Amino acid sequence: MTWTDEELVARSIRGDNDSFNELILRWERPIYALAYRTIGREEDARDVCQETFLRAFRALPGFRGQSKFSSWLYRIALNLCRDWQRRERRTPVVQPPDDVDVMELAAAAEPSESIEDLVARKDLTRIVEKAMALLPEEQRTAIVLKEYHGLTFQEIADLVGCPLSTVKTRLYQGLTVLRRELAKNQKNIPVGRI
Amino acid sequence: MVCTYTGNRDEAIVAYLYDDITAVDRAAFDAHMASCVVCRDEMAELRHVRSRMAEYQPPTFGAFAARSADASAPRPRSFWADVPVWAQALAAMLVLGVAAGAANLEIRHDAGGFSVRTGWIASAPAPAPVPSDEAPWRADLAKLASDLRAERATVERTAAAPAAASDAELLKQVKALIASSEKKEENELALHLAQVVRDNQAARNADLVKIDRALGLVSNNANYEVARNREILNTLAMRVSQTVR
Repeated sequence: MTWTDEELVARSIRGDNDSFNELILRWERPIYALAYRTIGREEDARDVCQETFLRAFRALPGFRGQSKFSSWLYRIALNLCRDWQRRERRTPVVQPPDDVDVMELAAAAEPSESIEDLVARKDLTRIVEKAMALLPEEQRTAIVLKEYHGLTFQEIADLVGCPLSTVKTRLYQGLTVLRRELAKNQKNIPVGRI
Repeated sequence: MVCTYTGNRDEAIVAYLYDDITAVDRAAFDAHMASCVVCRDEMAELRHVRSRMAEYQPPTFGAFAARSADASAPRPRSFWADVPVWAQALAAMLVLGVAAGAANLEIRHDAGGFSVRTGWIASAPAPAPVPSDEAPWRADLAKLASDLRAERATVERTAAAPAAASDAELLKQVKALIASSEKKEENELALHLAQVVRDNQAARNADLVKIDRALGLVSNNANYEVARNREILNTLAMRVSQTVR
């Protein structure tokens, strides 16, 4: 039987550790992805992910269900990301591309994907990553939550605490910057790979 | 060509792009785009951007589970892992206090302003005699040890409750999380301590330089006085010899 998040939360509060374990399994990847796309560092994203669940576990008895559990979790993660950025006093860092490791690439390749295709895909990822790093924090957060986590405009507005129209404006401005930056790099991508 | 859309165009485009829009607004914007090449082109470009963004995937996630598995393996448990942050901070302050005492640190605030100096410039006045086994920090240390024991007992009691649960997996994960968090705090504390030690060393070096300069000045003055006295003696000797002749 599949429990909803809210049911698992209620059971966790009553002391059912299996339920909290299920919540971790269900949400650790999205939270890690959110942290990674927000701060751009793999190791720090893992730390943020762990800290998010640690804080959630500690604060669970105080969770009253005013918002969805996932929204609550996202808010904790975003606050931690913001703290990280303030503490480090730096903008998101794009990890420098390492030398291409063919063995690693081969291991990551889809069965039908050639090494060439995979290298091209990695290049695209890097370009998007760099473009995302140029965005102001609030625009990047709006884009990440909408594009990669599928939240509604209203959910994002509730999460970051701003009006609905501001969320849309931030998204539009962020997408405009991305469009410009991606166009600059368009010539670097081999034809047919895009 | 210029877009003549009358509403908030940016918001409408984004809402349409992500299909987070009411049916009425969607129909209205559809009708507008049918006659507006600017909006059509921009919509196509933004869709292209979205397709490119789909390529941006985070690295493979798996370390969290791996760490949890690692945490279940027996390993030596650090003393600091059981010590809460406030107790670590208290311990750090105690260490600093002892270090400051050992360095003969003197802090003064008078009409001349606020000054801090170490005992390398001048010896501090002898402290009030205390029995050797009743050093002032012993009371603090005893209190700290007592607090630590109490806190540890609390932690163990808290940890014992979930341990009774049927599945220990969650407990392992949470313990791993706590251990990781406290390890980080421990590292930060170590960094702070290292910074304090560096600052102390820098202050000491500055004091030594001042002493060196002061000694050099005194030495120069003494040499000057000696040279002047010799000159006076020579002058007197010459006058005496001339008078004798």
